[in-house]
Parts: sequence; structure tokens; C-alpha cells
Amino acid sequence: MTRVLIVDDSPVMRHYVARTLRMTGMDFAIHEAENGRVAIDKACEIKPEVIITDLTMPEMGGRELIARVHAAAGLGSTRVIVLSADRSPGLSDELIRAGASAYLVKPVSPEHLKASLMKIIKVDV
Amino acid sequence: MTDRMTAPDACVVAAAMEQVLRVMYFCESVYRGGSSVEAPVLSTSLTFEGAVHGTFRVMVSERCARQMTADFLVLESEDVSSDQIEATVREFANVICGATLNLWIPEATLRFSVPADLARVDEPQSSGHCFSVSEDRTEIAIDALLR
Repeated sequence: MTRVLIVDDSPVMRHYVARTLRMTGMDFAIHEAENGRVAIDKACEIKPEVIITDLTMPEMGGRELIARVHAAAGLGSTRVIVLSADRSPGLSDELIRAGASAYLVKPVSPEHLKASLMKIIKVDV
Repeated sequence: MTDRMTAPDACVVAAAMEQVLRVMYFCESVYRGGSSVEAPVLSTSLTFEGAVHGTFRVMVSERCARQMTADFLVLESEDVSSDQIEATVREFANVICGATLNLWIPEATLRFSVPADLARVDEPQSSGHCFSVSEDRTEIAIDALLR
């Protein structure tokens, strides 16, 4: 079972992402966190294969979360997908250089989110 | 850049609205131009800073907000809570602001604030860019106000 941690301060976005994952028909163990600080604690506990995170959140945002994940013991194989409405030029490259595996711009369709996730965890769709 | 720019025009806001509603809320919109959003109206706003500065305002009729929330969460509209409506409208504001400003000035780096808590108004609210998403009701409006 693939463990996925969804990190967003918006409960409806967490719901949307979780529902999209369930619609794939694959066996995911879905966990949620409302910001990066809560997420890093939870990630150290559950060792997710994938973290899907918002960029701007209170307490700790996506940038710091990516850095913490890569610095944390036991999370070396955890991949991070960033999901944000911020379309600033160069942002995608910046986040990939920082260690994100993918950057998805909202609005993101369920099909696009699913395809990106499958690519990251190397499952054919 | 602000001095020589005017706010996003009808083509930009209509294209952004069409994209966001179709992809994330599974519905279509019709651009109505300047009009009034039917009451009761839920409104929020966020600020943007960077190459241009201003405020992005979103107004949605309460009826439409409930339906958007139900569609987004795949729930029956009568099962939607006020907290879910609040979160959905604020998320919509965040996404439509990013989509509109990117279509308007794609080369700009902008920082957005968190959308404000929803305000509820019991009278119709006028706006320069209004949309229908069902029948002939005018139920959504967006405006970018430059400083």
C-alpha cells in the first residue's frame, strides 16, 4: 500500500486530493496535515512514499517542508509534489532544484493529478 | 508597471473563469459583463504584490457557493456545511486570482495573501465582470483593483 501525505491548510483541498487518489482505484493509505510543521512530524512517523503539498501555508509552507523532508533521517525516498495557484515564472524550476519531484499549478484536474502521481510512483495509467 | 496598466479586461477574466470552473468545479460559465450578483452574496478578497499591486475581489451568490462546494467535494448540496462553503469559496478565490493574473501578465512574479474570511451581504452586489453558471442567474463576479 502506497502511503501518501496530503498537506494543505484548506480542508476542502485535502478532501479534493484525497478523493482524486481514491478514484484511481489504487490502494493508498492517505494521511493529512494542515501545514508543514504538522506534516514533518507525521512524515517522520508514517514514512510516506509521496507528499502532496500546498506552497503557502501558515506556520510552515511547502518550501521549508521540502527542505526538512530532505534533511530528515528516514525520508530519503519520500517524493514531494507541490500543488499551488502560484504561477510565478521560474517557480517550478526553483522548487525542482530544491528537491520537489513535480510542481502542479491549480486549477489541476483529477486526471492530471492522478497522472503526475502515477508517474512519480512509477505506475502505468 | 502599475502606472501604465489597467485592470484585466473581459477576455482575460472570462478565459480564467472558464478554465477554473471547468477543471476544478466541473461546470461552465457565461460572461455577463457589468451586472449584479444575486443576494445573498458571499465575498472575499486577497491582495497581490510584486510587478503590480492590488486587491482581487470575488463575490458568489450563496446558492451558487453551495452548489460549487457540493460539486467540488462530490456531495449532495443539502449535505454541505457552512465551513465547507467558506473553505471552497476561499480556495476558489485563490485559484481564480492566480489564473486571472497569470493570463493578464504571465511574465510577472506576484505574491498573494491568504483570502480573507467570507463576508455575507443580503443585497445584490454590482461588479464589472459578472458570470452565470446556471440558467440566467448572475452568480459570480471577480474584479482586480489596482493600487
